Amino acid sequence: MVEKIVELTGTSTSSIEDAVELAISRASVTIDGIREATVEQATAQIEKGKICGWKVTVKVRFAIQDQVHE
Amino acid sequence: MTDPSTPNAAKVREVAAGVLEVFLPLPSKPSIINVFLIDCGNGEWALVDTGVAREDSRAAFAGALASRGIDPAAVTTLLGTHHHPDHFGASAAFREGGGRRVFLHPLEIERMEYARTMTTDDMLGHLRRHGMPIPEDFSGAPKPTDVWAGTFEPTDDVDHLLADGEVLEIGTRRLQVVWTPGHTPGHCCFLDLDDRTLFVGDHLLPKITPHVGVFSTGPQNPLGDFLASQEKVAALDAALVCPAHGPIFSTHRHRAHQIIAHHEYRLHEIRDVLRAGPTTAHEAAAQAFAWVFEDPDARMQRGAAFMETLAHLELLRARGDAAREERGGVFYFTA
Repeated sequence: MVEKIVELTGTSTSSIEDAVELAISRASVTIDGIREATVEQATAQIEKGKICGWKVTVKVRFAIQDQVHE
Repeated sequence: MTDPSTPNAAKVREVAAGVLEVFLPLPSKPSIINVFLIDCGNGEWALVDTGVAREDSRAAFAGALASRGIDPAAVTTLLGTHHHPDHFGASAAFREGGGRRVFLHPLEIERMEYARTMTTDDMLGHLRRHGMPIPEDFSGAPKPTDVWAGTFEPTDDVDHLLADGEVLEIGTRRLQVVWTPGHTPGHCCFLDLDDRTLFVGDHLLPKITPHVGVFSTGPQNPLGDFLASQEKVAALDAALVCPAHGPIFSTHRHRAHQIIAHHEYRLHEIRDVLRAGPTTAHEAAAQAFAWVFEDPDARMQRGAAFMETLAHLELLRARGDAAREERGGVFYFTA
C-alpha cells in the first residue's frame, strides 16, 4: 500500500483538539479515506499575556484510491 | 451532429438519449446556465429551466432549437426547479412563445411574492438585528426587486403545483419530482424513472455549492433542510446528473456527501468563533469569510456571506450546539 501525506494547519480559539478537528474536517471535504493524522506542531497564540488561540500543524495520511474505468 | 453553419450551434449537445443540454449566457458569475430539453417521444419536448429574460439568452435558446430543427411550439412543458432569475426569469416569454404548461413548487410562488413585496427596510432591519453596522440614514441599499431587474420576467400563470414524490407523465417520459428544500424552500429535482437521469437545478452542483441563506421571513433553518435534501438525493438511484451550472457528472452520492462535509467543516469553524465569546452573525461572517470582508472588490458578496453564516448559526442552534440571546435589539450567538 502506498499512502499520500498532506500537511495543513488549523486554528481554533478554544483548544488544540478543536484546531485538529477543524483541519481534519476541512481535509475530509476533498480527501476520501483519511485514517490518521499526526500533530507536528502546536503553537499558542498570545494576546495581552493570555492564550487566545491554538494553531496546529498536522500531517494527514490517506491511501491513494486509483480510479477504475468501468 | 450539430450543423456548424447555424448560429449558436455549438451551444447545444446531446448528453443522454433524447436529452439536450443548452448553454445560455448569464450577465454575472456563474456566466452560464445549462437548461435541458427532454424529448418526450410524441413530438413534445419538456424544458428544465429557462435562463434569464435577456436578449442574448433568448437568441441563444432560439439558435439551439433551430440548430436541432425543433419547432419552439413543440416545447410544451416547463419544469421549473426554482424561481431564481436564471431558472425561471424567462418563463413569461416561454408562455408567450406558445408554451402550454408551467410546473413549479408552491413554495417558489410564495418566494416570488416575497421578492416582489419585500422592502429595503425589511432587509436592513434583518441585517441590523444580526449586527451589521448600517447607519440610520443609509440610503444606498438597492430595492430587492432592483437587483433582479432586467433578468426576471416570470409568469404568474403556473398550471401545476409540484408535489414531492409525484410522477409526471409527459409523453413517454416518467419524471419523478424530488423536493429538495435548502437553496430555496421549494427547490425540486426531477428523476427520469427509466433512464435514471437526474436534473438537479442548483441543488447538486459539481464544482461550487449553492447559496443557502436565512431571509427575514424564514425558513429559520434552511441549511438543516439543505443537508437533509443532500441525503435524500444521495439515496436515489441515478445514472447521470444534469446540473444547472458546471459539467454533467455521474457520482451523485459522492458529491452529495462532499457538500455535506463542506458544511460540517463550516459549522466547526463557526462554532469555534462563538467559543471566543458572544458573537453576532455579522461578526462571525467577517471571521469565517475573512477574504470576502477584506477584499473591497468583493463587497457584493458580503451580503451572501452574512446570510450563509446566519444559516450555519441557526443550524448550530437547532442541533443544540449554540444558543441565541437578544441584547438591545441585536442577536448574539454563543457556544
